[in-house]
Amino acid sequence: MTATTVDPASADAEAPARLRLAGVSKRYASTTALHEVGLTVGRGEIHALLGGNGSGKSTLIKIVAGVERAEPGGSLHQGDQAADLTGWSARAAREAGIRVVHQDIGYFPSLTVADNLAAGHGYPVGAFGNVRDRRWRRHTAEVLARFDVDARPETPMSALRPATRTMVAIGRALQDVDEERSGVLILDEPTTALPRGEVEHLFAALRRCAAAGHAIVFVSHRLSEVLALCENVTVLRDGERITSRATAGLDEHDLAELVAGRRLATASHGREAVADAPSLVAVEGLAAGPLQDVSLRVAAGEVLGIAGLLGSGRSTLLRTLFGDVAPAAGTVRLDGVPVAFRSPRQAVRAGIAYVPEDRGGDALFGSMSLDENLAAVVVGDYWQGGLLRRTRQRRESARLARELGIKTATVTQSPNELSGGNQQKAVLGRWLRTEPRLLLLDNPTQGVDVGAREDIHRLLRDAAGRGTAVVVTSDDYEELAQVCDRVVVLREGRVTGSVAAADLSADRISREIYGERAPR
Amino acid sequence: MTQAQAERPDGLLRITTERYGLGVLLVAVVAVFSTLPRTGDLFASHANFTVILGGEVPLCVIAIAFTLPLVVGQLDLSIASIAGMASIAGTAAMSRFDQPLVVAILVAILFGAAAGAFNGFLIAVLGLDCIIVTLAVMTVIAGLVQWYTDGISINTGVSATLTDFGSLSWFGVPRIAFLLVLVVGLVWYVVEKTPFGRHLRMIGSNRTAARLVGIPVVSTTFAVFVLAGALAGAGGMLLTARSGGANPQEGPGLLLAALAAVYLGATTVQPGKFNVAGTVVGVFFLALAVSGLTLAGVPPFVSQLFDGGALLVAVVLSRFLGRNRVGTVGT
Repeated sequence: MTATTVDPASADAEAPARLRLAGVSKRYASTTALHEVGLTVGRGEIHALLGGNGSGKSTLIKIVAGVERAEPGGSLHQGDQAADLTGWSARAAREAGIRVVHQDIGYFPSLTVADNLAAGHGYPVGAFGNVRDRRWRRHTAEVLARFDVDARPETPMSALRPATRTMVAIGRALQDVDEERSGVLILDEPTTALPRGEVEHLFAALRRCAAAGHAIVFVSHRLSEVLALCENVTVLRDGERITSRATAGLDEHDLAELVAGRRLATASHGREAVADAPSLVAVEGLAAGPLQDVSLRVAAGEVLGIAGLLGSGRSTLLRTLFGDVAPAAGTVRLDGVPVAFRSPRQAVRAGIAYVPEDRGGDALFGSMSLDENLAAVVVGDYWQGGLLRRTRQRRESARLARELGIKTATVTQSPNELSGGNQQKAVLGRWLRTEPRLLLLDNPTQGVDVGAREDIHRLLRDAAGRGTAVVVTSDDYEELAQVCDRVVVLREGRVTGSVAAADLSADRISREIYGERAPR
Repeated sequence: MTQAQAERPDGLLRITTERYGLGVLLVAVVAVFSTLPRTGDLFASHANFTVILGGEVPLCVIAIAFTLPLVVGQLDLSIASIAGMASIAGTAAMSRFDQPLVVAILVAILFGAAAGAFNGFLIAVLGLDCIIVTLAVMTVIAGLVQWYTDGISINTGVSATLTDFGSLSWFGVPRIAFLLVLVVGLVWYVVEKTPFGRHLRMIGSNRTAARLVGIPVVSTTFAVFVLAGALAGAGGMLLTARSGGANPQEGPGLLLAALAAVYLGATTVQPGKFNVAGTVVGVFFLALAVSGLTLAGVPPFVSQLFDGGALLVAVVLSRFLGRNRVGTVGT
């Protein structure tokens, strides 16, 4: 432990810090978002910034970027220059070479790489106000070469692979940073929208970027990525810095506990032999959208994972089971009885529940209150004596919210005001209260902090313990290995492999996914 | 959490102001025009209030018909024209086909429901854009009405029972106002106190999410258009009851007044949500203000300025007041 703890002072002595923050605080009317937080990043260093929702990391990024002011104080040091963060501005941040690339990189899909590079920067113009296209294309080619981006200036953004798009965004951010001084690049969850295979590609590029002297601050919920990419890590919790140390010697579990600030359940759960149990759901030869000839079985009380890259058809599979997509061929049996749901309504009536991937867009009623969201599936239960019983609904929803561990002052507020993890718990809780026979979840923990993630895992295992069959997809193989009894691998719409409980590991799943392509 | 608690008193004040704001304004309008020397005697008379109360009932019913599709997030611009058409159809049933009043009322409601079903099919089933569809339907209805009436009112053969109901009073209150209470109560009950109403709110809030929790979005939306059409048809019959005939221009002319009332109503009672009670408050606020201004000698065009201005103010208000809170008005 002591061997790996970095003394910031000695680290500074070895390589002069590119950016050093000290005593950064942010107080709102009654809450303290940040309290005396410090952060030191050296040239060529990739530094992870971790924290759950509400830990203050977003606030810290906003302050450094000059979008919000530090209050009551805080300072930013570059070399021997010091700046007061109470008077910091977006412009000052820009001049200091600080650039933020957000999770949603904000690009124009139909425009070329060169045009995208000009967004927010401007084109060089000639005497008549005409865009000097050739000159800009040359500049773009230079930037692409400098950051080793595998793209050409005239390629439309939509034709690039996702990791390359993120690289273009990074190039766009750093294109005018003085090479001598190097930039500070803050990446806010850059991998959330990336398929697994793209992440390594992006990391290689980030390492080159760091090798060129830029300082990188990497924000992510994916702890395995942090360990793979970053040399040092700073953990924030409740607005305070918990630690800044080297990642060497830490594993994911250590990091998760640092972030959550409490002991978390260990990965494995008692896996019983559910394989022999009769199947609740039996799918034979299912075809729909990208899916071809998919057959699988799920037993009551079993948690089945579906692993697959974007476009593998995993979402289509769930939506087909839920009656939202009509199958082109194949049969689905529920308890041995063939079913063909023509709408989600019929599936819901048969005891099937579905947690969609996009909770904001497809699951939450933002303009309604939390209690109404929690009661969305069971509205009829509150219809009593010709009236909807709102008071009883509120009372029962408040109790449900407590059981689910949803952090909220009142159930009458909009779910939009909750953090991602609490929103997801609400969507899940809405279905759990119906005690479904089959629970389908599409990537349920994306954008959710580690604490809420553990809660969601627990809720899934509990539901399975009560006899619900659970089918869950995830981008995170570690998670699948942790929660599932069995994992089925989908590739290009076909089931190409299956990993049983005894062999379950993230490594094994990713080998199944990226393994030898099946002969066609 | 602590932040939310700290904001509570402030938020509560704001919500209270919003909830009763328009009602307070309505009372203020009455107070001002009742005390102004120029308007006081005429404005604050039983006769004037009776005229306003009775006269605004058809508009209230039509505005409530507007409110229903808005709850599921759809704007039906043809509602006022449907009411006008139903008024013509019902009156013609009595006047040109010698049918009894009951049949005439059924005809009006059926015409309204049929037009609503047509809108509902195009919008809910085929998924077309509500504004374009209802704009087209509104224009087609105008053409049909012109063809059938040559632009001339139908004033003969109207049942005396109907016109009596429209013009006489019970206990000093216009008879027609009793019907309004019934309609408001019924629609409020359906929207606020039944699972069907909750489904409407959910569809209006997030269509996809509503489908994915098992709500029959298409059939429910279709039903809302049919209900709104039928209610507009009833409103059309009330227009005839008030004026003793059917004027082809009268229905379409109510479009803007109804819209203004509905949007004003969405800023009050349940601020940020289209709601029936708010709509009624909106109608009477506009009517009382215009009446007072007219009595004060302001020329008639002011009523248009007032309705249009009120619609703008209402939309701006709901944009700023309702932001970041449960139940934002969206079109």
